[in-house]
Amino acid sequence: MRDGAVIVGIGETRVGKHPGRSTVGLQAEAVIRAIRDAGIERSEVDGLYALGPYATGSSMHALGLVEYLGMRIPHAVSYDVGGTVTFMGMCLAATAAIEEGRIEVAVCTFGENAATRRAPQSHGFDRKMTMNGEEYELPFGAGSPLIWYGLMAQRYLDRYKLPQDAFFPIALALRKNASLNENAAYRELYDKAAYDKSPMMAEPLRRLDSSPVADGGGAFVICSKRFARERRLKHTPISVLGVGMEATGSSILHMPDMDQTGFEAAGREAFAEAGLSPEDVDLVTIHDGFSISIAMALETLGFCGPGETVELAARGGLAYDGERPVNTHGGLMSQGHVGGVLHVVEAVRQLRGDAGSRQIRDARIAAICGNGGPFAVCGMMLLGKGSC
Amino acid sequence: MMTDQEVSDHFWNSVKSKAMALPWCAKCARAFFYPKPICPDCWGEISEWKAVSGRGKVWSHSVVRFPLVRGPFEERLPYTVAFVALEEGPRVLSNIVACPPEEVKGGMDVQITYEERDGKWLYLFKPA
Ligand SMILES: [Zn+2]
Repeated sequence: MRDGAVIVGIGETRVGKHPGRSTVGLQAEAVIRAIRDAGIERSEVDGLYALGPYATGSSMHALGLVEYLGMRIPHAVSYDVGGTVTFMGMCLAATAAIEEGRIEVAVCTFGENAATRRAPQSHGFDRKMTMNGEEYELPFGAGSPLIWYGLMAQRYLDRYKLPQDAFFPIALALRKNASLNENAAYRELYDKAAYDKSPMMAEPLRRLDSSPVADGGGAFVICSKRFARERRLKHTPISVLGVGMEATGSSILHMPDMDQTGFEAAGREAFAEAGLSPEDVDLVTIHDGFSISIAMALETLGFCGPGETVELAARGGLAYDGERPVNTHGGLMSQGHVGGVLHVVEAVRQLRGDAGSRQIRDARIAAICGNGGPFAVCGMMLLGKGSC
Repeated sequence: MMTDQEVSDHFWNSVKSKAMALPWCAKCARAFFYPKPICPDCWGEISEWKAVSGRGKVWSHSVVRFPLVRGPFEERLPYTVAFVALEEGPRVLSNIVACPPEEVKGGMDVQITYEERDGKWLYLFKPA
C-alpha cells in the first residue's frame, strides 16, 4: 500500500572551516541532531542512508558511520545519485522500504570536511572516482567543474544576448539571503564593483559565481505516517508529495543543451505525482553549484520564464519576501557547499515555520531542485506541510 | 568486438595521423563521440570509422583565466576551452587556438588543426 512517508527531524552542523573534524564525525553530529530534533530514541531508527565524501574516494561509507555511532541497524546503505538528487533518491528508497514494512524510521545524511582536508589546490572533488571520458577532456585543460559550468553559462548568455556580468544579481541575491542565516559561512554583502574585482575563473564565471567547499553536515529523519501519528512527534510532519529524476550521462562530454536536461522530465513527473504546478510552490531550493545553476533550474522547471532569472533576481524576487523565494539559507554559494543536504533541511525548516527572520509567510509547499555532475542527472522533490 | 582500449587507440592514432576519425554506426547512419565499442543508439557493434571534414562551429566556450587545472595548463593561461559542433553532428571538447580569447564567439566557424602537446597529438580548432 502506498501511504508515503514524512520528514520529522532535521539536523545541521556548523558550516565553514572546522579543522580537525572528520567526515564521519560531521555526519554523526548531523544524525544525532536530527534524531534529537525528531524527539525519538536511537533504538527506533532502523534505516540509515549516507553519502560518502566527494573529495576522497570511499567504500562502504555508511558502515563507517554505523561504527562511529555505535549502532546495530538492519538497513545501512551508502547511497549516491549525484548532487542534491542523492537526497531525493534517499527519500524514495526510504519510502519504499517503509511502505514494504521493512523499516519504520530512517535517517539520511551527508557531510564532509571538504574545506580543511582536501588536497592542496584541489576543489574538493575527486573527479577521477566518478566520471568517464577523461582522455577526451583532460588534454584540453578542461578538468574543473568551473570550466564545465562556464561552458553552460556562456551558452546561456549567448542565447539570451546577456552581458558577461549578467549573473551578478543572482550571486548577490544568495548572499543577501545568507546574511539572514547565522549558520552561513559567507554573509558579507558586496557591491557591483567588488563583484567585478572578484577573480575571473572560467568566463563568464567569477569566484563569486561559484560555491566554496565547506566543512559541514546535515541530516533528516523520515518515517512512516503511522509512526509519526502514533508517536505524537513534536514537529509538524513534512510530507514527500512527489519526486522526479532523470539521468542523461556523467561527464562534461555528454552535458546536454540547456533545453535538453533531465529537469524537464523530472519536473513533469514530480508535479504530476503531487498534483501541483509551479504557481503552488512557496520556496524553491536549488543545487546552486554556480550562479548559472539557479537560472537553469528555475527556467527549465517553469518557476520563471526563459531568460528571466537575472531580472527576477535584480528586483529582489529571490528573497524570502520576494515573489519567488530561492535558497533562503544562502545555498551552496553563500552558506557553503555541503552537497545539497541543507537544501532539504532548509525546506523542512521553512515549511514548519521555524525559519526565524527569513521565514516565508505561510509557506506550505517547497520544491527541492538540483543536478549532479554537469547536468548529468537532474531532479525535483516536492514537500508539503502536514497531512499524516 | 573492439575493446575499449582498442577503440581509444584507433581514435588517437587517427588524430596522430592528422585525419581524425569518429566511430560510425552503419545501421543508424551516424557518427558519435566520444568513441566507444558500441553505438549508443542501437547498441550494435562499431564496424566503421569516418574521417571528419574538420569543419565545425563553436557551440559554447569558456576562457579560463585562473589556474583551475594543475600542471602545464597553469603556464598557458588564459586559454579557451570550447565545445565544437562538428559538421558530422557530434560535439567535441577542445581548445580554440590561433585566436585571441576575446575574439572567440559562439557560433563562429572553426577548422580542425593538429598539434603535439605534452607528448600527445591533439585535435584543436582555429578560426575558419
Ligand atoms: Zn546504431
